[in-house]
Amino acid sequence: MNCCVCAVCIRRVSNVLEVIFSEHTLMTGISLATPILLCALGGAVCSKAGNFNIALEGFMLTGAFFGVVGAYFWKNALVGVFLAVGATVLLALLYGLFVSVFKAHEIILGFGFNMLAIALTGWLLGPIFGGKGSFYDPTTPSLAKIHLPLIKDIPLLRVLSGHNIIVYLSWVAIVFLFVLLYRTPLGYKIRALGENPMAITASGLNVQKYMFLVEIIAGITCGLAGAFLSIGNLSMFTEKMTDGRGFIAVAAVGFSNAYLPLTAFASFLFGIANSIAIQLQGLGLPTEFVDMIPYILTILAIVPSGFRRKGIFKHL
Amino acid sequence: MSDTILELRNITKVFPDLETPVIANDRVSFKLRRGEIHAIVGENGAGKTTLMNILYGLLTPDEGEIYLNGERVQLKNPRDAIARGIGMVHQHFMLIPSFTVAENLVFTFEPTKNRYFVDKERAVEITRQISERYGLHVDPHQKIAECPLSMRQRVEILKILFQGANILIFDEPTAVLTPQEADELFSAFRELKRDGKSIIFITHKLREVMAVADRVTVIRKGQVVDVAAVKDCTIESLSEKMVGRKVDIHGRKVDSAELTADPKRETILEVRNLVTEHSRTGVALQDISFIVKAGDIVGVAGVGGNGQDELVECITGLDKIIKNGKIFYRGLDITSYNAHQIRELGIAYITGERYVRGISANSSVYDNLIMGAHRRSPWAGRLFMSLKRLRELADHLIEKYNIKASSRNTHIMNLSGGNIQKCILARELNLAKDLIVAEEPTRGVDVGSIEFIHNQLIEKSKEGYGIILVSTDLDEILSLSTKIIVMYRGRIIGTVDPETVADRKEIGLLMAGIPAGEGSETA
Amino acid sequence: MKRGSALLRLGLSLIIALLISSLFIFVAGEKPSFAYYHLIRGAFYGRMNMLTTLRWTVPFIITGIAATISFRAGLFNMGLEGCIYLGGLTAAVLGMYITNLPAILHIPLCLAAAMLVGALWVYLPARLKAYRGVNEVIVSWMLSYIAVLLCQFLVSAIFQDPADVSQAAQQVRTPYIQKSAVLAQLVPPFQLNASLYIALVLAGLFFVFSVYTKYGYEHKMLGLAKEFARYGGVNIEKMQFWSFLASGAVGALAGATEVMGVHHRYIHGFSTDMGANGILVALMGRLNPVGVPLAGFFMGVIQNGSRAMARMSNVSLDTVRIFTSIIVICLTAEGLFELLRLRRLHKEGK
Repeated sequence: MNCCVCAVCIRRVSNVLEVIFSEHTLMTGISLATPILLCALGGAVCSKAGNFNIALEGFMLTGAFFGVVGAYFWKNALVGVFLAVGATVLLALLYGLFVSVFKAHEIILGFGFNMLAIALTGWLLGPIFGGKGSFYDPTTPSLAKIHLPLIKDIPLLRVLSGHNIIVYLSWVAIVFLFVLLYRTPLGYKIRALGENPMAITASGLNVQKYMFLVEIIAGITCGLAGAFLSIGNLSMFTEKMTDGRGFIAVAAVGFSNAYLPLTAFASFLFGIANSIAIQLQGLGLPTEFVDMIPYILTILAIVPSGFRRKGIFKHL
Repeated sequence: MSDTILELRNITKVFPDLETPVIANDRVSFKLRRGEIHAIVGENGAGKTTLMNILYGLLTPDEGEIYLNGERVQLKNPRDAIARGIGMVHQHFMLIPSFTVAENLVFTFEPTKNRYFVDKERAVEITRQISERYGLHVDPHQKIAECPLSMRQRVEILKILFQGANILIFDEPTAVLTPQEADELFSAFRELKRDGKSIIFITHKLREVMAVADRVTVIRKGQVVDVAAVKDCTIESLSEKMVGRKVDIHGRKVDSAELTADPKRETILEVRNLVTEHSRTGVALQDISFIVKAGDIVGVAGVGGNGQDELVECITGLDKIIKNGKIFYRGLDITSYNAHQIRELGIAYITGERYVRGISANSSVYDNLIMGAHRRSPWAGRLFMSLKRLRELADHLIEKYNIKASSRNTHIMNLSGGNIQKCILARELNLAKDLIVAEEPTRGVDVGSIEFIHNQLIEKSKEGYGIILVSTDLDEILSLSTKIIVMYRGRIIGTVDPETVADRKEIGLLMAGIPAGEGSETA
Repeated sequence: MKRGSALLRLGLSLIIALLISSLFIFVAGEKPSFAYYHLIRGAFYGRMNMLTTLRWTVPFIITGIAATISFRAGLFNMGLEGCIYLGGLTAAVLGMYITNLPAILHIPLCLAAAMLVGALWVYLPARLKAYRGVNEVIVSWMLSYIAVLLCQFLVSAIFQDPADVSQAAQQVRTPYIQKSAVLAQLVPPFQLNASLYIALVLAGLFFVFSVYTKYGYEHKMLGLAKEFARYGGVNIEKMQFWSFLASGAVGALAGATEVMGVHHRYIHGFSTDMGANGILVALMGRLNPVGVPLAGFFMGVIQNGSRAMARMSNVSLDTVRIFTSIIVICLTAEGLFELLRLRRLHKEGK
């Protein structure tokens, strides 16, 4: 009797492990992580400049919408990407205006902008596409999958191949933004802005200019994230399709204290966890607990801030 | 006059946004000679920092001109000033905690390699070179957050030297330094001078002026009182100029004899050997002891930042920094009491931080007046407040203290500064049982309200209250106190009897750090 | 709120939002006045409309007060959604399994239990914020997601209605609660139920608390001027802690009343953004004990009326969402109003 139970258990566990460590899971994990990663990168840069930006969700949704608009009307996925980034940057600049010039409260403003993005994209579905709730047209091109020449044949490493361009751009973004923040004069100014804005003013520089710059960066990354979401696979747009990914990105920023390498790590972690959850769902295990992982991790990461001298978020 | 590298002519700066417009600089003229160390002295609020901010481009003067090397210049922006070789080391450092010393030093002027990237190695090299050249030791690789205050200051100095400063301005540079560190700083000054730099430094510490400055400008209440070569001055003469001449006997508003007549007066507050941790600003109280009896008005004099804030916070329970010593209120040990408990005892605190602690800037006069009374009978029961009685209280206070507000529901920021202060006074005096701690009670207040506020305090003293008056306004201290303690660097450096002190000079010396009996020093 | 012009700012924000949404309506090819007419009509005209408006007002008022309790103390409880779900589930579970209890006991029991659970759920962010200064926005927000997932799991794994399991499209929901736990409909068959009384009592209690009690005053001043309150002897930590807990409790109450009054069972997803709407109502009501219930009513009008408007005209529901989000954005832009005020003053030649 015991042997039977044991055998079933072991088989169960090995099933689960097989799923967790399969290439398929990793592939999906990378895909799922990408929008989170991109938003989180933008959010981290904002955070470094002193702006705790919770409007990432709204930014991404805007990008998703205009991605489809561009791809559909110009029958070209890349146009979609450009349009997505352009529209999101405009929204981000508006956000920047309110937060740095009009001195709006970050949290409330972010909340408002998220609502606005949902409302605007939902509304625009009517006039632009004549639809309601979602838009799908099979003639809309999606981003092509890129197969990396040698890598696609190497076992395990081939999970890195076969993604669309935005995925690869996101990896480049990690490096690019890290170098920008930590190796260029502009990056120094951005970080200084977040730690001691007085130092910027005392050097005779304009605080608001750098805040706008930072929001543009967030607009670009979140716009890319949105485009990935909508035209990365099936070119379609559904209302509220971001479904909380932007908030997970905020969680990633919080978890990593806006330190970019850690932010990227957290985003991948959350993406893979999500992927595992989906696979496990097929095995009949409750997915809710795996879905909870990003949120639990974030809480665990932020609790220590109460027990140190300097908290993670200096404001509030 | 090729000797004069910098000249400020008739600089006037008014701050009109305050209801009693403040003339921070009143036709101030100032000359700096090439290669000299020039001190600017004056009390709090005299206008020194405003003047330097104008020179550094952070403020624009309403009137007056600036001449650099004989040529008229407009400094609209710190970047203009920096470009012209003017550098400033602020009292609160403009450093980035997570950057290294080297990164802070080259900030906004970073050396680059390959056009776009910061050359960190070069930055470290530059730091080492500059550090060696001027004899100011710093560790290029250490993060500023981990550096001691003295090193941070050195980084600030090296930073402006790197930016090409020929004229260096220092705002209260020794505020956060130990005496040894201060001496090291002055050696650095001399080194810089040898290198051809010109230095302006703002201070209230006259010893320093005598030790290192070539010439000194004294500013009082926005105007230049005197400019002299330090070798022609004594500490006493400087002190006199800084605080004014003789005590005006008719300025006394209080008759000590009358107030302190009763030999059986109770001791209301006793502070015994109080020692605190270093606060954020680097001041620690050391062995403070004094007694406040019924009817006393104990004046705590001294230049701001010498421990008065910390003392007040200890007594009022607002900060937990007491390391040693005790505070007794009518025999009760209140050393560890928090703000709530202190208030329950009926100890009133008129705060110097008017807009941060003293009022709720977003509320009405009514809401501001009832804080404290709202939980005491007869204005409140166990759970409910009696709105009727509180409204009556508010109206009563408005009338009694002559607060010029159209109604109790007026928004408090619609009142003038003096009336806002009267609200604070009204609220606190209403709650006071027998001890009042008054911190800068008339700062920035119009003359009429000053009179009124002083009279209120005197009335309370006559009723047997004990009052601790903390003020950087020497006139106020001298006219109201029954006894005066002077604070310097966290210690009580001396006590003065305001009735017998013949000359403000005595107090001035104490405020400048010269204990009694050590006077008569010349450079 | 500067210089007593809070009402002015609200008015200005409403006007700006109205103008912009009218623009959107116009672009959609409709006359704004036509659209607004249908909105008002849909909200008020006729018994059904009026009752449905009131039905929607109830959760808005309750969640609005929940958000207000925390915001007024200077805290951001972003975890309301989670509390709502937990409250709803608690009420549903106690409503289902406890039998043979008269309604007069059953209903308060369910409500109280729900509120307790809601308060306990926010214990962590409350304690961390009040006593340790940890960012409560993140912690409460994350907990909210966790709560929703937890409820989903609990229902699908344990409390699922057996009648549903066999069906293909599985709705995650519990069986119906006992009759004794149901909040009676006021005017059957319309959804408006006794929770209206609960909302009104709650609003009344909040009003009394804020205006007449010592703690209400301290609570208000804590959010307006923390240092002033501390210096005035208010125990900041305790007040922040209990405000947060109260906020969670009232949020749970909103969920419980929805379940007990409208759906009569827990249906996962029943809270269509109730948490966010609560925040909206709190902001629009300017955190004021009189303003918030009024704003709740206003939102109830909009919620109901906008559906009629969407039916009868070419205007989509999103237009209304645009309207409300612009109000929120404008209301928080302090600097914008300062700019306008200063511009006016300069014109007067100051």
